[in-house]
Amino acid sequence: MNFLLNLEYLPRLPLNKRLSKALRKAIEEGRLRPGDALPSTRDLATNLKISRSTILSAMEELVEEGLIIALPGSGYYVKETDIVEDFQPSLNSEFTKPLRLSEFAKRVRDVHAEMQTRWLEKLPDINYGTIPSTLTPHKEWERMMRRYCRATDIDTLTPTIQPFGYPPLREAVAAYLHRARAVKCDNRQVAIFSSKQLRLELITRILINPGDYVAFEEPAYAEAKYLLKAHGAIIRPVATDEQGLVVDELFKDATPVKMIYVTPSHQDPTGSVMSLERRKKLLHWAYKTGTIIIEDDYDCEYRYGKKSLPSLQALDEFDNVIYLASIWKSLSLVGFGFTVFPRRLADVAQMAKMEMEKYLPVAEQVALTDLINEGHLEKYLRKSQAKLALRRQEMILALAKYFKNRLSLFSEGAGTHLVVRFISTSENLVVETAKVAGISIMSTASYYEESPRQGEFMLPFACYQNAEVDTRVKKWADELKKRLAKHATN
Amino acid sequence: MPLTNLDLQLDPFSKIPLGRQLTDKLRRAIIEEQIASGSVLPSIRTLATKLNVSRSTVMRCYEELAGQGYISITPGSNTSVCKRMPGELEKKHSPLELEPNENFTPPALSHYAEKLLFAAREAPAQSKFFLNYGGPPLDTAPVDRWRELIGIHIKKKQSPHCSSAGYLPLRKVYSDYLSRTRAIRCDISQVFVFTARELRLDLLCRLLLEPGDAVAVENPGYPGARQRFAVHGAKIVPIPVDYQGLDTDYLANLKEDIKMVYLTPSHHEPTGVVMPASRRKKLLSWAESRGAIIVEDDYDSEFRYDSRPIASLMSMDESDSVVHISCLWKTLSPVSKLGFMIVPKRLSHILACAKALVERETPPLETLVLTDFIKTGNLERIISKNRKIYESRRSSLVNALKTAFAEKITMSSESAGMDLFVRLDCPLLEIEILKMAQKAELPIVSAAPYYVDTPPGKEFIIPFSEIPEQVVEEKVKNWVKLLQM
Repeated sequence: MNFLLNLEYLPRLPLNKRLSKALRKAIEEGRLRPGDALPSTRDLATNLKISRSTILSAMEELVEEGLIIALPGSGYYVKETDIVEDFQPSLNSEFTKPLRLSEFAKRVRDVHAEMQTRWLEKLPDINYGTIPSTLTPHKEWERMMRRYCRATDIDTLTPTIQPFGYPPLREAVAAYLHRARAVKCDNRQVAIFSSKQLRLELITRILINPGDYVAFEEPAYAEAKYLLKAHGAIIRPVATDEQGLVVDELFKDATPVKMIYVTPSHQDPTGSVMSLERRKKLLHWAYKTGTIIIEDDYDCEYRYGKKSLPSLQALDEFDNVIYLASIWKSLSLVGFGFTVFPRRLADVAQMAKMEMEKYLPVAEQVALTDLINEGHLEKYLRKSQAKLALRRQEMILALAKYFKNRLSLFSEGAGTHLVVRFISTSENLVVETAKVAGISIMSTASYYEESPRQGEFMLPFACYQNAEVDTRVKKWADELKKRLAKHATN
Repeated sequence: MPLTNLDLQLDPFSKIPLGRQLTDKLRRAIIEEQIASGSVLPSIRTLATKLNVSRSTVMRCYEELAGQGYISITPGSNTSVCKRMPGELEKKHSPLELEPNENFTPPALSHYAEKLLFAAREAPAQSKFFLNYGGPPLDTAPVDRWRELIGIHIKKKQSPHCSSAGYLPLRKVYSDYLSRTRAIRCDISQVFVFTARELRLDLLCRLLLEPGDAVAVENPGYPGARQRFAVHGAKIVPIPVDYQGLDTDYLANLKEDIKMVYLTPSHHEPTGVVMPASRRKKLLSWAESRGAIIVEDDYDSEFRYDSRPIASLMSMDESDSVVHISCLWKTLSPVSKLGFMIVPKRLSHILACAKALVERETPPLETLVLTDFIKTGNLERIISKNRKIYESRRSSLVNALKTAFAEKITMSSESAGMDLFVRLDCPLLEIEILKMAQKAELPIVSAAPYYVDTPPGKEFIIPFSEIPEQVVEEKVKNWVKLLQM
């Protein structure tokens, strides 16, 4: 054991006393706890450069005091006491000088306070995006990881990894995004991030100064807005309708917007798909005003029915779109985020990445490269799309059957949840009754920058077995009717 | 039939599945307009027979292309190539250097990005050079044990539940490890795990510094840290280093309001000097009186060979002003590169909030495996095993250098870390000395980048941990021969 002991310098006190003093202190401070083995005398002798007989005499002293016990053939142990004490760090809690924080830190504090009130308390404990593991390539993922563990050549084990990630993985991701979403890029534009949030953090750092305006769809994913607020950006919400972002609003407004964050393939949370005409308009506007577009294709993999439109990135001719993707929905064990940068931003993005993370986990990157290149990811996506389309249909039918016109449905064929709007029903009642019926549901309120839409909820459908949906929704509707009747009589 | 003259030959021996080969070839043919848009594709049966693959392979291929919008399948009718392609533009691949246009404003970068670009222009060679320098030699990395643990944990299919500070059991075992080896006693709320290691110093700067604030650093000292402070707009105040490390008297006499001090007290990078306890106390009381934050980079404290280890600055701190930065890089690279940071209590809440915005998850498998690795004592076993190896490699190198150079070399006397700091008395230019070392296959780098101002020159760092004992003597001999000394 590499145990650090500090032998205080005390004149006239012999070395063995100084050692016993240090050990006593370590036990009192809780660095050595009841039952812990003391460092071996041999280790102490080598580390402290003192003779073993000196150490033995110090140990003897502690044994006599009853602090430690000697087990022949095993070593010395801290004596176990009956009283189990909680380890309390002894730190001076009175500080003369308060911490001087930066402006950034103050904004982080404000944002945190906002999150506490607006977001955290309204967030039920559901994971509204998970796909059941039977529909995901978990087994194949395990196999790829095993393969990595068996590999013998040193190049596979310890590949050179650049700040943007393992080059073969970047190639595989570029090819995959090209196949699935017609994204056009070369490998130099693709960056792998160890976490999804880091992508937006990096983009914000290189583009946004405090006081800059950033446009967001209204409603939009709250966490992204919090990050930008912490950097001092001012959020400008832009309305959405059934065709996604209302692009004309951008043309009307003279506020110089620096960046716009959109989810065109499946608006988060309402699920509308931006029309081709609007996509072209948006790109044109961005080109004219020099605005960078962030296209978050967060659940692009799951589409049903209608043929999909190409991504904004694919339509863009002006090198203005930063494209974000990930595969966490299909494989929750892989938290990597992917980014495709415009060519003119790739260099500075790489420099900024060096300031955040130069290295990424090796095993995961090698395994993911194989998973994509061998087609497992896409195979499962095809498989799950058919299944999820069915589940979605079942959910829609059940809702229509049991709720009739109490709610309206608002969702195009994409993603893993539906958006429903309850008409003149209290939100609390909806949440409570859903809970009783075992249905997870989440209010969209936290997505709105201005006033939230009353009675709007996200309803994940991917997580139910087919037969379950009907009975659960029925129970939910019955429960709601019962409660409403009760309210009426009261 | 448009496909007759198309090369759709599949390679049955390739690692790529047949279906994937076929899909890729067909897609390319469509994109490159070898198959005209709107033209009818052969039926599944025809194509399957022609290529000698199963019908389901062809079917899946068609389905995939249809899903991507390249072809359209009409049940009961022909399959044909779509008239409009997904992402119409990809075949054109428009050049990206756009014509300057009156209406067109290029995106303005942030002040931060401009500082980054400036820093890169200032020192381009340096940052590239230090990218991979300093890890352990591959022959001592615990790659096999690590992979064994991956195999065990992948079976369990767990994904650890993390708070923004990191996976709780990992923070626990790591703080216990620091308590044993570095005498650091801290609350679990002060312990943070970072996947993005560079973010540790970076977030600290963001939370504590405004542009123009003064940060004191050792001169010479680690250039990577200096660069991080510089891109945040901090004013860098170099403090001289003597045989006891950072000169605390010099620091105390400065008039400036120093907000932060960054140093490597346990093993100064690059000279290897250790700061004695008396000076540590001085530094701590200075920080307390000024309200400054001390950043203690404990980057390779696990490797000491002859002297008693010294308690970390953080363990002596009573005023809640020391940040302790460490990682297991020197032992576990390349298998794990997670970084750790122990912060003062008064900083832990705001750091948790800031980190929640940028990094909430750590890679699940790596987290679980590392927790296990430390808990079962593997880490400390491998450290003590490697310590013996490095100690012997160090003494072989020192002996070889002494014999070869005699009094023309000065070496740091501290026996710690993984590399040796040397100063040569040699008439050749520094660049030539480096070239000769390269010829002799002796890994060696110049210490010049560590200096803020003009370096004294002919100072070098030799990573002895990478040079096996059997070859070191010969390499040094060759080097001296080339230097004609």
